[in-house]
Amino acid sequence: MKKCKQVEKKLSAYLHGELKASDFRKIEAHLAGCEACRAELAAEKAVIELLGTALEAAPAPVKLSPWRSVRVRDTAPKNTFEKIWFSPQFKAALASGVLTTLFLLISGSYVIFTVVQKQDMAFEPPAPVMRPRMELKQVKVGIGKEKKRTPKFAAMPETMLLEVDAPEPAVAGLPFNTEQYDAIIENSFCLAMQSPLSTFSIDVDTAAYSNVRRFLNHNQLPPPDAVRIEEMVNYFQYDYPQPDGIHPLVVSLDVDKCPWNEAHQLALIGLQGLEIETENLPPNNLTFLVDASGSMDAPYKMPLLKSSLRLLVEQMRPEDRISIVAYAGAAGLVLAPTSDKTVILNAIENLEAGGSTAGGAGIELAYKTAKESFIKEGNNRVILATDGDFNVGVSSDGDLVRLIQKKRNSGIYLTVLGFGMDNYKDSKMEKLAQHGSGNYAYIDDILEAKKVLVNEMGGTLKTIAKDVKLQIEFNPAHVKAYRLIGYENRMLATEDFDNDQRDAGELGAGHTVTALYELIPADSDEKMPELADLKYQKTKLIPSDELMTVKLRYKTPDADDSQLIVQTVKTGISGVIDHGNLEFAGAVAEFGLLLRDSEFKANASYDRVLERARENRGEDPHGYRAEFIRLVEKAKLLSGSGK
Amino acid sequence: MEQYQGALLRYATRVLNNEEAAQDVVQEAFIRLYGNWGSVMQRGVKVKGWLFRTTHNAAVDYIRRESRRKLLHERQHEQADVFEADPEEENQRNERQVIVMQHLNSLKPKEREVLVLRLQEGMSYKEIAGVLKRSEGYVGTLIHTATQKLTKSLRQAGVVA
Repeated sequence: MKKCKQVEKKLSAYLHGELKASDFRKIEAHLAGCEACRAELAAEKAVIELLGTALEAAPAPVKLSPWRSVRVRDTAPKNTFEKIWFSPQFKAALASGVLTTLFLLISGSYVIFTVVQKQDMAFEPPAPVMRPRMELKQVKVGIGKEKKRTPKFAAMPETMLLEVDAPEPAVAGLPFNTEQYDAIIENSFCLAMQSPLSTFSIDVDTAAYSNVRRFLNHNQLPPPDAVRIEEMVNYFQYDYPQPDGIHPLVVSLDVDKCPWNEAHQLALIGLQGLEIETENLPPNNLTFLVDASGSMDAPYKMPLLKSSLRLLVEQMRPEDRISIVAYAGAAGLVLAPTSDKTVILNAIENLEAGGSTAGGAGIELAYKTAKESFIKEGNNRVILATDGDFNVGVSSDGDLVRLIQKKRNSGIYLTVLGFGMDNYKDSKMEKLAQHGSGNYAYIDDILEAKKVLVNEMGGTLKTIAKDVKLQIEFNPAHVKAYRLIGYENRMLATEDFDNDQRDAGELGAGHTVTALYELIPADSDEKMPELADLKYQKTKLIPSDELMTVKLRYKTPDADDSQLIVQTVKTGISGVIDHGNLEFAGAVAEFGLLLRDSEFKANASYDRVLERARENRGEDPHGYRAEFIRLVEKAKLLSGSGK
Repeated sequence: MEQYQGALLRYATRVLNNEEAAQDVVQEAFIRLYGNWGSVMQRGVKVKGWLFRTTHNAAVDYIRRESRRKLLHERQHEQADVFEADPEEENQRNERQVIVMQHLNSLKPKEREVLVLRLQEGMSYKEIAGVLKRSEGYVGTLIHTATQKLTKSLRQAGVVA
């Protein structure tokens, strides 16, 4: 009995592998012959194991006051001195100031070398998301504390965690506004005589509009590079005729006076994709790739993401399959492909944000999962929901694009849903969608989620034509110069049009895509750069009353060869009596020019945008156009111009 | 430094059984780190260990402050109730796990602390000794008594055999 007491005292250390070899052997020997102590050991072991998993699942904050900075700016209360002094932001700023000063002081002296070296050593490989947990089964002398590394998915207890790649997380950024936008260099006027062909890929993204709306709703004018005019124009559905021929899409054309420059003309090219009734849509195989990193841990991100996904799941039909991959420090399969709504909704409910963002690994795993449950003839799609702030592993724009490009030919499409603000990486997400055969939308509120995931589910989810490219030939006899409005990052080389290897945008069922050209008529006396005087060539014009020829190439979703559609526009009356589409699209483009403060905005004015938007509101069943009018009014006030 | 935030917050939350206090305590640890940056760096100390020890110290200060107001136990239980009362959260967690956490919270803070450092942070007895500034033997004894207490109370509750 006395021996048992002695042994009992050491059981914990025995379990934890913290015993000296001699003690260890003594305990082993005793346990072999003492049933009571074996029972005690089993009980303690059970408790420790249980406690380990309980601790893992127990809720705890993952970040220090994660998003207070946003609050402060939004509600903008006058900060008293105390408030500032005691605010975590100030403390952090103060601290980093102290830090910098110290560094400066130190770096001035010779000591720096050793200090810096030591500092490197002092930062042992961090274990932030990858929380070590002891392995209880292997109790061995001296080496019993082998650590098992488990990725941390807070409160995701019953999930399968499939580790793919867990690179060392980078030190995350500051809580300041670190949104990223690629600079847009606007298309300028091209002389029709010199370069009569204009070639570009369609763009079905709409993210720029909702992102612009988010800024305006927060009483800020958007940064110019966040304003991609074609995405704003394409946010709206237009009233184009339905295709009725052999092609699943049809081209509508219209030309009228340019609203912001009387001496110019505005040409509209509208594509309408074939509508497919929801019940006739092929089965969906959707893989949600959910960003569960710490940066998503904000009330306007994770909860919004969850409600958005719930909306989509509600739309599910029995033949549809959904799987979920979450990624933070490591990527994990949260939900294997299933058609059971309750299971899916539960999995969505259990998603929680924490840790850094290994986007690259997540993308890999999502495509792998989608491929495993691939539905032939179905709509196979990865839906990436993120703020784009990837900071672990493959994260440079170029690397991610290459990764996505490799996946593109697998027959799996990509939808990128952007969430959040402050660290929003617009540039990254736009590129991903563009290169991943996909579309990109920005979700700023639940209504936008409804628009993208419910109202346009057919269009967003079912591709009816892929690699859709347009090439327009202008007739120099009637057009002196032309300028494509927007589509800056969708421009293609002339020869790309006939090259079926060249990837381009996808058109979804029932979707419309609209492009606008600003034209300078041939008889205009506007000063343009002189035509290069060629010594060996002479351009001869062939008499024609055509203004331009529009050529369109597309492939059906499973084809490798493209189909060609050719249409022409004659000068004079365009045959379109109702210019409603052109008027409204023109108003949206003009609004974009104003927000960009474009060098081509000429006489653009908020008042006239409002006037034309109001006149051409049409039926507007979802109220999007009414909202547009409100946004223009707001921008007008914010810009302080009644121009 | 953000890399240690999550781990420290989990640790402090468990020890103090109070999320808000944990935020304060960890914040305090970071402030102390920045304040002592030069000396910490020069001595080539491991930042992780240093942060855990400082968080431990800050937590001890917090508990002292609180107990001086004779509020410790009542408050902890109050807050524990508030903290655990989120029904949606509880549904998601295994019932047994919830019970285990309740029993864990009935231990003394330092007993909780060693178990958390061992099981949640995967520290060795030696590392824990470094955080607490006590001997390894002390840590071993504390872990033993804590485990025994917990086993006993869970056995009474019928959670383990």
